[in-house]
Amino acid sequence: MRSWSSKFLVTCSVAMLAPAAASAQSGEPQLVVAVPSLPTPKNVDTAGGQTGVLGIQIAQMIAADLRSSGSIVTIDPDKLRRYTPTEATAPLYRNWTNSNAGALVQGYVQARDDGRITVVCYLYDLKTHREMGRAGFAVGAEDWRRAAHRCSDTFHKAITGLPGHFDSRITYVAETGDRTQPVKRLAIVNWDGTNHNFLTQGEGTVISPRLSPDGQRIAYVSFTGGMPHVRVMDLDGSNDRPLLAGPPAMSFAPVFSPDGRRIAFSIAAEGNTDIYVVNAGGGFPQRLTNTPGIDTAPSFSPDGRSIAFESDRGGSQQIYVMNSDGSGQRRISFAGGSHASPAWSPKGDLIAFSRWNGASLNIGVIAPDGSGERMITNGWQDERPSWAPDGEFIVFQRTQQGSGQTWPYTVSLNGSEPKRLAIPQAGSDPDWSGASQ
Amino acid sequence: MKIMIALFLFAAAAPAAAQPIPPPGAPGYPMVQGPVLAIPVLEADFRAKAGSEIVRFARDSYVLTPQSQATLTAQAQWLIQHPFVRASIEGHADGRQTREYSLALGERRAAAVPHCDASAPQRLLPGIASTAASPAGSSPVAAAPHPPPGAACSSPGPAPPPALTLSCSSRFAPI
Repeated sequence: MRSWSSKFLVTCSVAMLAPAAASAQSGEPQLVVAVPSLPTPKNVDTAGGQTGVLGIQIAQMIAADLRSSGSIVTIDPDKLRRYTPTEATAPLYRNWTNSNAGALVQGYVQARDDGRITVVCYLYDLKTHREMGRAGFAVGAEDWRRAAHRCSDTFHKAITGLPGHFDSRITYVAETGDRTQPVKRLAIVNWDGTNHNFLTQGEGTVISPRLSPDGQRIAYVSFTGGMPHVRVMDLDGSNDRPLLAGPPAMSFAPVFSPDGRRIAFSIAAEGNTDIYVVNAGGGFPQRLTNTPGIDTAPSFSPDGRSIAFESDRGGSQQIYVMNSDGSGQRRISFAGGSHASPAWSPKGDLIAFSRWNGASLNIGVIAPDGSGERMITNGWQDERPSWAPDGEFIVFQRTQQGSGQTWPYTVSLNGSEPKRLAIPQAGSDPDWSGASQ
Repeated sequence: MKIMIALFLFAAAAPAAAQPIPPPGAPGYPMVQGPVLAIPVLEADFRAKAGSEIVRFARDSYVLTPQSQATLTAQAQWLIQHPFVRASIEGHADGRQTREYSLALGERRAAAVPHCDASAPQRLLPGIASTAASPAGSSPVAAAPHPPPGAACSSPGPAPPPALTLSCSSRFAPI
């Protein structure tokens, strides 16, 4: 709090207390964004409610999205003046000078003849009087949240240079049943807990879902037929097929390359596990590792040129990095304990991992050159980190001591308190890698 | 941390554990009741004669100790004598291991059991086929069956006898 300028404190301390406290610790520069309600030319009843009400709700959601990012502070709609739809594209800058904000969100909500709504949003720089970004969508009225999240993503990118995660989704394994009769279903949910859907119906055990970068396909491990093997399907459940043709092999730990064209994974046979890569459409896999140890959990760098993975070739599980053709394999984790499940951040500057220190598993990050290792969580069993598209948040799986129940949690890089993902039941193997489009 | 042998009787009820149980279709084979009653009886007999249904490993290890090998041998002999019993070999890993490592370690442990070794099918127990098994029991679950089908130790023939199956798998065990 002390690192704020006094001007910010006076005008927005109440509204931004909680999110700002976390970001103030990280010491990042903050932009104050005013988010007044979006006006509507005509208040119309829609399937999502009255357009006038939607304008308030969309503004509130944009404000909530932006302030959940560590580097943005917001002023919420109920503290701001209202404006007319015609102002949306031509802001009256002088009317906002007293808000003490650095940027302004405007826009409008309009009912369409086809029952959908048009949502248009703009971000203006109140100092230079320039437009910083804009987005517009025609969506089903009940999908207004999606439009709000995509406005937030556009503004997040305009402000920070990085895509937001507000319209992104998390796929995971929904866990129901009891320990003797577990039911595991692939599920997908918006990061904020809305729009929850099952992708499989629990007829067979499934683990390790991974979204493709375009968010349209999912790679996962199925036990159907008895042999755990990687499969790929479209998000709607169609085109479900094994990744590998030919005689079944035990394959697992799939992950898409950043361009979505390849899938890296592991094959285990005769007591040896190695990493392979294959075209996402199938074909003959190329072997990348050949040590007698367990080489698994591959994760591509965002440029697709490198792969982080875990190996116990040196005695204990540690993080290694190699070129994506398998050359140049080198260990990067040396901090003691064992390190597993590397996940390369979308910014490319960090690799998240799970570290076993002899008593607990926790999430940490390390630079790809092995420097700067630090821990993010302090739980009993936190594992399987996966990055949000903005590289600011991580989703991971937390197991409760005693009950053994697992839930996905999200945490920001600055080490804020992890938040349980708002899903209807326990879950494991969360993956946040899908893009927002 | 262990390998566990689980038994599944195929459509039979055991009259008593003391007597050898004839194969299905043979005189004396109990046909009246379902399999539910028989499994605990068989399990008790298996434990009594083989010593244990569990073989333990050290953390992160897949090396069979001499004691483990002795137990496995006794287990195998019992299985040979009861060819109509379906058994699965499950390699369990520590529930506090990460998922991928547990899968790989389970496969490594299952592969350490000689009659699960796909590369040496001649070492399979006579009349016993090794197939993949779906994971049984608790969550989180991960089966690592061995060997790959197509090898000599997959199910024999188009219509295999209903029970001669030794399957190898692995899974996590909850803490």
